[in-house]
Formats: sequence, structure tokens, C-alpha cells
Amino acid sequence: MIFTSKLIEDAVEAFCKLPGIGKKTALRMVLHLLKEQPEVTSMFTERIQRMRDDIRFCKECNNIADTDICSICENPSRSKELICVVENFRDLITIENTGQFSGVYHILGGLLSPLEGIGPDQLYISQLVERVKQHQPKEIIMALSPTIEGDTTVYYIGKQLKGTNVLISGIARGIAFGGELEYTDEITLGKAIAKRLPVDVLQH
Amino acid sequence: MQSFSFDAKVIGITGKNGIGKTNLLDAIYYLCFTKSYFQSKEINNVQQGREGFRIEGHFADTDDAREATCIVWKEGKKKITEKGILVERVTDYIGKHTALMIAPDDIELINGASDVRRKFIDGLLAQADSQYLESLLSYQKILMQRNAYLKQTPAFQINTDLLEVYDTQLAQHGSYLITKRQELSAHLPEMVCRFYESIALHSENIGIAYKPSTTQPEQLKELLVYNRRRDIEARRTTAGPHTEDWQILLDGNPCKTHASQGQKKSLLIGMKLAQLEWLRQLGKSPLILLDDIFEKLDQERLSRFFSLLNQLDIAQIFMTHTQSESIEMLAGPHFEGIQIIDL
Ligand SMILES: [Zn+2]
Repeated sequence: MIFTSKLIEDAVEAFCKLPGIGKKTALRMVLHLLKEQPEVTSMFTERIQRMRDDIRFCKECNNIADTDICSICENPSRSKELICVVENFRDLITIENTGQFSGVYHILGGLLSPLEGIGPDQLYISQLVERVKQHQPKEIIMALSPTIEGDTTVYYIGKQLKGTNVLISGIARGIAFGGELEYTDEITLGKAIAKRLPVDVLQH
Repeated sequence: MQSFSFDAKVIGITGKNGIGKTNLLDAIYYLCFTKSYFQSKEINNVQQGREGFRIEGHFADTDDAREATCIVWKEGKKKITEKGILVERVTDYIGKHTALMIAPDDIELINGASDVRRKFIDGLLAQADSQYLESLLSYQKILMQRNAYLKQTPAFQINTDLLEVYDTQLAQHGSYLITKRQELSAHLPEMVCRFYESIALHSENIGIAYKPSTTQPEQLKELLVYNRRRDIEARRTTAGPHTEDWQILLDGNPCKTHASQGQKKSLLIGMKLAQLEWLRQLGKSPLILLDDIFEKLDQERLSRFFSLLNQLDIAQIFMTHTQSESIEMLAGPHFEGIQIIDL
């Protein structure tokens, strides 16, 4: 694509850095901003910049947050007795959208997979163990993908929590899970969370 | 693009060496299993200077033979369509059409390393039992993770809790593999023996002795734990279902070293016929693909082999050879109306 303006070209290139945005789409967005009042662009860039500068990770659960503690952990109506362990932020949002879960979360940041260079130290597992020891919740729900790596992670965490009195359960997978939480529709996921089963960690 | 129509029950594919006879057989195999019998690296199946390849086949055993099955491989991606509809999971497709290939390198089953025999046995069991296939794939995935962990972690930093988890997971799937391998190995020699006898015309005491990593499948976990220190030192998983082997014996002696070339060939055909029998017992009707079989067997054995195939009522048999006269002469007496395709 040939541009007659370097300014346009730079802006198009910037949009192209976003996932799923090709040059055509990028150009459409740039031309759209050009059609609008200058304030629209200012607001747009300011908000993005502020998001990037001010974002942090919740000290309790590793969730993306505006302050040191995220809005879920801070909410007094959320039960601290119940911790739902998820792989990433997207899975948290998926479960949150079901409206079926009133506890708090813990984001691991991935699954155990040495093939991808992810060992126990690369994940927020020790923080979870620490949290359980300190706050002594009643139950931990493992809402991880039903894959080999998901299983490894569940069993490993189960081992680390041996000796605490916490009950470890898993969501009723297999019924409607297409592999990843992201693709599971909200109603099935909501039901799965309500009907969770104890993870058999006795064998380890 | 080239296209062929196979109208007879027995097809002879002829032509000079290097003209692509084996390729044509492999294309049929590819349509059945979505992979090559000879080349595991897809890029090597692509003609030089081309971006990919396309194989299309009309199977006459499906409802509508006019609708084709098509496999396209391009730039690292494989796409299978059936009657114009995209097949989303390869596992849903595999098993619809079956083929049995006999090729010159198959003698490795007797002479070669243990992985060739494991692949043969795993192939038999996976065709019969989808749980076996699933356990096998899971086992291999866990093994890769465990080996990656051992490889990248210095011995003093090894997290034994994580190894313990991998051992438990390996044992869960691996013990099933051992159980099923034991079951099959118990009656495989009898099957092979029967076919060996009809090919070699005299009986021999054939043994296919399974060497499991542990004779008690439920003790696999203990074995892995026992080997842990050795594994950490070697930086890989040194023993388990992935290292097991079968010793092929002729009158109690290892075949690799004690059998003659002729005995080995009869034995190989015996094992392949046992595989065919196994598939047929599962209700499958495999196409038979014979690559250069005329070079491998002497006339008498070949004649007995063809007569056996004829009795079995095979849907379709494909064979390659440089000369059509030899096909007519040796296969002609056993099969009516052989179609010759000269490349
Ligand atoms: Zn939080």
C-alpha cells in the first residue's frame, strides 16, 4: 500500500501493531479519526496511555487492577472462603460473566509446561499457597483447561496444598467443554461452576 | 495434475524406476490415514519448487462415490474436505478408510530398532481401541513435558513434586498401554505362526516375546520413581512403555541374528497378514498396497501369498513392478482381469 502522507502511514502502522488488524482496516480507522473532531483522538490516545501507565496487578489475586487491590478482592460481598483458580485474565472475565460465582479468584498466569519454558517458578503458585495458608479459605475451585498441562497444574497445586484443610474441587468438565474456557458459553460454564466436583488428590 | 481410475479388483502399476509408482501407492495410503507411509516430514512430500500438494480420491465404498475426499497441504497447513465439507477433527476422519502397505523397508520390523516394532504394535492396538490411542497420545505428551523439564533443569534445582506429578500421570496412561500390549502379545504369535506356515509351507516355532518395562502394569509408578535419580542424571526418562521392545524368536533364537533372509521375509509377510486379519476382525476392509513385492519374495512364496489374498476377498489390491509381464505371469493365475496402469 502506498501512502502520500508520512503522517497517515505512521498512524496506519501503529494500528497494524494490534492483533487482527491489517493495513486496510488500519487505514479505515485512521481516516475515521480524521473525520471526527480532534478531541475524539485526544480522548482516545489519553485513555490508552492512562490505561498502560496506571494498570497494576492485584496483590491478592494477580488480577488486572486499577489500584493495589482489584475491585473483586475489594468487594465485601464477595466470599473470601471460595477461591477460583484460573489460567489468565480472559478466563476470569468468562467466569465473571456467568454471574454464578460469588467468591474471589487467583490468576496463575499460565499452565505448567516445560516445553514452553513454564515451570512452577514462572507461575503464581507460591503466592496461591501463601494466600491459602494465611486466609484459610474453605474451598479452592480449579477452573483450568481439561488438557494434560491443566491436569499437571491441578495435581501440582494439590501437592503444594497438602497439609492445609482446604477442599480442592474442579469444575464439571467434559460435558460441554470444547477444550478452553474461553469458548464455553456462559450458561454451561455457570452450571459447571455450580456443580463442581472434588478433585481426587488423595492418590498423590 | 494426474488422475487415475482404478476399475479392477487388482491393479498393477508399472513403469521405470523413479517414475513415481511408489508415490501413487502412497497417495492412496495418504487418503486413508492423512499421512505418508514413507515420509513423516510433510515438506518432503512436496515437489521441489511447489508450495504444496493436493490429493483427491473418490472412494467407491461411500454412499456417493461421485463426491470426492480431498486433502490439501499448503504452507504447513493440512485441510481435509469430504464431499466439499471441511473435516474439523482428523480423528473423526481416520478410520473411515483403511489400507495395509507392504514395502521393502518393512523388513526393519525384524532387523531394525525397537521403535519400529512399538509403532507396529501401537498401530494394531490404536485401530482397535480408541482409548488406547488416547492413552498413547497423552503418554507421549506427558513424556515430552517430563523430558523437557529434565533437560532444562540442573539436577540441584529439580522440583521433585513436579516430577512426582509427571510420574503419576505417566503411570495412569502408561499402565493401560502395558496391559493392552500384554493382551495382544499373548495371542499375536499364534496368528503370525499360522500365516508363516502358509507362506513358508513348513511350521516353525515363532515367538514374539514382549519385554514390558514392568510385568505388573500397576507398578509403573514405582518403576518411574525408582529410576528417578538415573533420569535426572541422564536428563531424560530412561525407561517406560516408550522404551519397550518385542523380541522376535525363531525356535527360541533371536530372529535378528539367527534367521535366514528367506525366513525373515516369510516372517514379515506373516506379521503383515496377521495385521490384515486383525483389521478384518475389527470389521474393516483394508485396501492392500504392495510396493515392489516381486523383488522381495521368491516366486513360490509370492504365489502362496497371492493365493492367500485371493481367498480373503480383499476389496482392492494395488501392486507396483517395473514390468507388466511379470505381474501378468505371477499374479495372473490368482486374480482375474488385472488392470495395468503404465506410468
Ligand atoms: Zn484481586
